[in-house]
Amino acid sequence: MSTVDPALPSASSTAPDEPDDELDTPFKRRVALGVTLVALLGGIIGYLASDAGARESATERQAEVASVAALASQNGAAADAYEQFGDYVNALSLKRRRDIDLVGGQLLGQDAVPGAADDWEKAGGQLADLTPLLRPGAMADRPDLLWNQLFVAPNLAALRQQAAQQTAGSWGDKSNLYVGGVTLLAVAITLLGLSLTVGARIRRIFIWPSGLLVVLTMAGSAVVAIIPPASTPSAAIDAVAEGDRLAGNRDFEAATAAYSHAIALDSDYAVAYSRRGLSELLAGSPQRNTSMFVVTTATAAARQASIVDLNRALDLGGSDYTTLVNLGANYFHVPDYRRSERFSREAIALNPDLPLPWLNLTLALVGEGREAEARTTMASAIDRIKSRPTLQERGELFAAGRSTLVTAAIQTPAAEPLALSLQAQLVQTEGLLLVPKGVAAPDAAGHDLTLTVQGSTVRAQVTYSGLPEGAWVAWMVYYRTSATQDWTQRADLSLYEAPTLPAAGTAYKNVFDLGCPTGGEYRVDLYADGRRLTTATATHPQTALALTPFSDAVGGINVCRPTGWTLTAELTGSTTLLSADGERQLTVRTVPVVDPPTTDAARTSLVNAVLARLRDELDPQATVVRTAQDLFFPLVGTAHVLHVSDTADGYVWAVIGTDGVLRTVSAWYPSGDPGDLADISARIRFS
Amino acid sequence: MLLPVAIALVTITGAVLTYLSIRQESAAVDNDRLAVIQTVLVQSRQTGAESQTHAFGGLAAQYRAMLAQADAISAEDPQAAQAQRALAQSFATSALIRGFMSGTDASSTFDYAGQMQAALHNSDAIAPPENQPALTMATADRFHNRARWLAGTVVGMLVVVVLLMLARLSRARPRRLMLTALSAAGYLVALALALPHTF
Repeated sequence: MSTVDPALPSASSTAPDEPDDELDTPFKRRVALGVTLVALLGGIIGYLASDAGARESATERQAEVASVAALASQNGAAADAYEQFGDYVNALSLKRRRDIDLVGGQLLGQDAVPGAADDWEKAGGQLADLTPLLRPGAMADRPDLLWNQLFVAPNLAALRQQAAQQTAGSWGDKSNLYVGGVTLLAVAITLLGLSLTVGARIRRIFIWPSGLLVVLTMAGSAVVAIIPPASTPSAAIDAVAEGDRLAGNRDFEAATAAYSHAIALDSDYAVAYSRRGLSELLAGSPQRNTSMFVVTTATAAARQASIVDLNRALDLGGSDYTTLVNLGANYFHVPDYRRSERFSREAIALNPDLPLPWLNLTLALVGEGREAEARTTMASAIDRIKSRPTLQERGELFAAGRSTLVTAAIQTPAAEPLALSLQAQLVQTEGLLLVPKGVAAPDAAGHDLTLTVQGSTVRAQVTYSGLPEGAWVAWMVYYRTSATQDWTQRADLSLYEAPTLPAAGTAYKNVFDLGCPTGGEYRVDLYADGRRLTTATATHPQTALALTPFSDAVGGINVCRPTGWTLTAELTGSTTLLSADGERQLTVRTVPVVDPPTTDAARTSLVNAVLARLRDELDPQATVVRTAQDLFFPLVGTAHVLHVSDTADGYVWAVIGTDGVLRTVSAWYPSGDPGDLADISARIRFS
Repeated sequence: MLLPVAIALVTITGAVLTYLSIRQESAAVDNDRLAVIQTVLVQSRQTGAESQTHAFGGLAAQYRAMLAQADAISAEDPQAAQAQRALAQSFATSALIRGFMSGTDASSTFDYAGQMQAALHNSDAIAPPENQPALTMATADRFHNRARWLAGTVVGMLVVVVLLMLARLSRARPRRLMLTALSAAGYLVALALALPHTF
């Protein structure tokens, strides 16, 4: 039964495609039921949206708490670290006083500093409770390890903040999707309402889309409800923090393992992939222990592994600047210039103020043969390098640019002229920064550049002409471990100078490689006025020794320790290497002279006295076979070659520098058979 | 019949724009969060660098005090003074301040700015750049603006729906035509305003 509203036209008077004005028809009842159900569904989804929003807020709160905790923890760790470092340095002064007494006693035969060494040792020992740096153990004399340990807590707090933010974002996405669903349901209700205003024949064009929207919303909301929000297990965060600590210690293999553990615990943890991508790259780089800002050389396997992980991090939403820059660099070396360009441009879009992506973009464009664009981007890169605040970073960036341009020329021979031109541009810019008053040398020429490599020393000799007074030259030194590796320009070996030389003649340059190389190749490019004059390469004589650098910064001693040899350096200013068979020994010592001689005669006399004491120390019966002036980098001093006994030979060497520091070297070995000692001796460097 | 279809079309367009606005807002919130993360990292680094600079400044003061002490005793005991100076130089090397001192005597000064910069940039290879939070915030603001703009065009679409509904209810043909034309124009304007901010 139905009623008719007298205010409306009767049903019988309407055309078939005009609205049906009856209040209670089966269709309207169905629509009413449908609207009710859709409204109920909207309410349920609205509840879910509200719940997701509440969880987003709660997780956001956790993230904010973690961020405050991270900053507070950072402050605490910094205060702790610097307090302990200060305590350590102060206690070290007492130890140094003891060491000067002991080494001075050994070399000069008297207390170099008034006071007994034992007393100073006792005094230093009383402070051992101040910090683990002063006690025996893994942290002893390793402020870097202590630092990395102390900063695990703040790093953990920062990682937890990131994880909480990610979870909050995930809840936020859910909430947004639910709100989108409610919007669709509102549209569906609108369509249902409109269907009541049209005739029966065209209702379906409103009813069917409406039904489709409802079904889509139901299905979509169910999927959203079922998928759990992103959540990072605490153990995975701990593993990344441990990886960061190990990477800080430059133990990149262990760091990679820690990041892999984090990934095993959470295969969607973008941060872990990103960190592992960088760690793998550094683990496979010969620059792992020398570069702070830029790495240009790595094995092909390391680059591939890094690319895979960094791409995965990107897929998971970790599109941060560092990831994009490293992808841009990695793809250049593969080489895949198109991708390198793409990621470099993306990094620039995120941060256009930093030089590295501009350098990577330049390299990609060089590889693609787009000269004009490459020159423009190189100009942008140079402007940004020049604005970097520290000399070391600028030096590494300029060196990285030159190194990778060499790689570009090798990868794409057609690009060599452009690469050389851009290299010269980098040399010119850096030269003008470092030697601003350098005079132009448009007629400078150089030829017959020869390199000699012995031990850790590279000696370059060149014949030159057309060099006016005050002109600046640049010695760009490159190294690679094998012919299959990329060249790396060594910022620590290269130098710019305005030497005082005649206009023409022969020039020499000695550089010392503290990395204890045992093979590989060196290359030196000589520039004048930003123009490459000549270049030469030399192979390092391959040695079977595996060497590890050791540095006593306070004593100013650098040596290379062969595997199997024992190194003793309990005293600052005294380092001894003893071969595994006990048949060869080398001792290097330095000590400040409290009453340094002021005349050459007094200096010679003191040096001779020291040499005699060193000779007695080896064997009182030892006799001097030969006297010579020998170089232990960078000082030339007096050496006595000794016949120690029927079975042993040796030598002693001493010099007093203008800084008032006495430096000595003494060694013994089986008669006529110095063996590895000769090579090790050639790698001593005083600083 | 055309008007209900038009109302449906505008309603659906409005719903799509609402969804796009929500997406832009979501991206904005993601960037807001990222900016907070980056701010914490950059500020941590800044705090660490400041702590290091002050700590090293204190060690530099100790170094100068050792040298001043050596100067004070040099007349009465030159050997002890020389030993003290040697000790001070070792102290400077151990304390990692040698590169930031202007000289090697008691009057030499510590380069606070240089030390600060060195401390601040010693992890540039792996840490977010110091200007990154500001850039990320700017990106977030761009997304917020897009979302706001799209939400505004949704309101415009709803106005168009109202106009169409008035046209539908209107019995006078001229008025209906005028309202329909106005609605069409409004729809096109709103769409034109929305499109540039859609992606």
